[in-house]
Amino acid sequence: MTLALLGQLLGIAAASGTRATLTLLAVVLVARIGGGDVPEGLSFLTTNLGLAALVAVAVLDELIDRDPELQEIVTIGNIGVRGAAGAASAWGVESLMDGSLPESATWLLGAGIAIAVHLVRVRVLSYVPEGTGGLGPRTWIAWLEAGGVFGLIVAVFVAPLLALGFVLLGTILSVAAVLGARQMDRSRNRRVCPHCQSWARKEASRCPKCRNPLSVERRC
Amino acid sequence: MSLSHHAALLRDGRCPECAEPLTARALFGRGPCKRCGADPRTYGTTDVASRFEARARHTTWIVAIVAGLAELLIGWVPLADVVVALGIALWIRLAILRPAVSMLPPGRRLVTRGTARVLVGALLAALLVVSQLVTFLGPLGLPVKALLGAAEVGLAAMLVTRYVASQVEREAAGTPVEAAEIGLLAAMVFLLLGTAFAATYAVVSALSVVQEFFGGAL
Repeated sequence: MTLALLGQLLGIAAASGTRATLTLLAVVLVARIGGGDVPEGLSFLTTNLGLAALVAVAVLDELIDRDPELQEIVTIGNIGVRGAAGAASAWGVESLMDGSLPESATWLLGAGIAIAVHLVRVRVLSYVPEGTGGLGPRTWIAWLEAGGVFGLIVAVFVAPLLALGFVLLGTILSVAAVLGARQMDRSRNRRVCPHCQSWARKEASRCPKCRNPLSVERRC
Repeated sequence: MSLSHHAALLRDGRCPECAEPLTARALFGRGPCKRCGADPRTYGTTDVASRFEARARHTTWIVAIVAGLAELLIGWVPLADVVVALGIALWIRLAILRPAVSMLPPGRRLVTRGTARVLVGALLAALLVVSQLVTFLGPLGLPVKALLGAAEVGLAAMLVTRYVASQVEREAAGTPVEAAEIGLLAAMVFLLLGTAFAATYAVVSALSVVQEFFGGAL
């Protein structure tokens, strides 16, 4: 396997972990417009009916992705969808570009990376407040993410090594984001309870763990 | 500790004592805080719905006046109404909808937000259609357009406020979400998906015909 193909597979699987159906739609469109060979299992998606169905599912996927409650309802389903989309997208890209890798290896790589990206993303977003008084940080992140995924998909087909770079950089940034967000939450919003040493919010007048009274360090 | 600090935490959906996010049951006074066991009823949760409605009514007036003025100022620019309608929809969503739905539990929040968005979308789409027709009146149509805009936007904001307030009241009273409400929302989502499917199929089929006509050159 070449470095370029590795970049393409990792890039498309990582994109699937964030925008599952949209990524698969991009792969199918490239196959249809470019006239490349997709695996027989995916050939239905390149037909008019398949494309229309994929667009409808992409709309549904986008609706779910922008609604925290819908995401809560379909938590387990979401993991399955990301994994399946990652496997199918990686399978399609590998078939379009090379076609020499064993199918099972492509599926495992695609599904594994997509699910891992999805789980890290959920963890990072849990530290981001939803916001009630304006365009909350989650809205900005969703827009940034959509732009990033679009750029990553373009890079997969136009500059595979750049896609590999994106994925490596994204991995480092995600780990840093998880650790940084937890640290920031503690340093900005919490203090140590003098009675039980657990982390209580600065606005609290009672420790949530030992229930002892605390002095309010920050007023609302 | 002053009551305003505890009340501010409660308005933010957090426990007045440990400041952690409250569950819906605790927020509406039907149970204690799961983290520290504090009883939010001590700090008064029964007037959540009326407080929201009073604040939203104030916003409704401002939104209606701004919409009327905006129509008067830029209504002569073709399709400027679209920009005004988008701005108003965003305002209603941020000033009325979002603060209220953040107090509801996930299930009711989903239904309320989805239905209210469709309500605002439908009313503003109706405003756009009517205001385009008024354009035919020429310069005389401008004040009519401004009045219509203000009235329709005011109506949209008022309906959304009443609808959301009724959901907050029902949550406070412990009334569950009706199956019909979920069914209506599901039907609207299916309609949206069906439209996306049909539109894509029509476009792709048309492109296929064109492609065939040019012998696959496209």
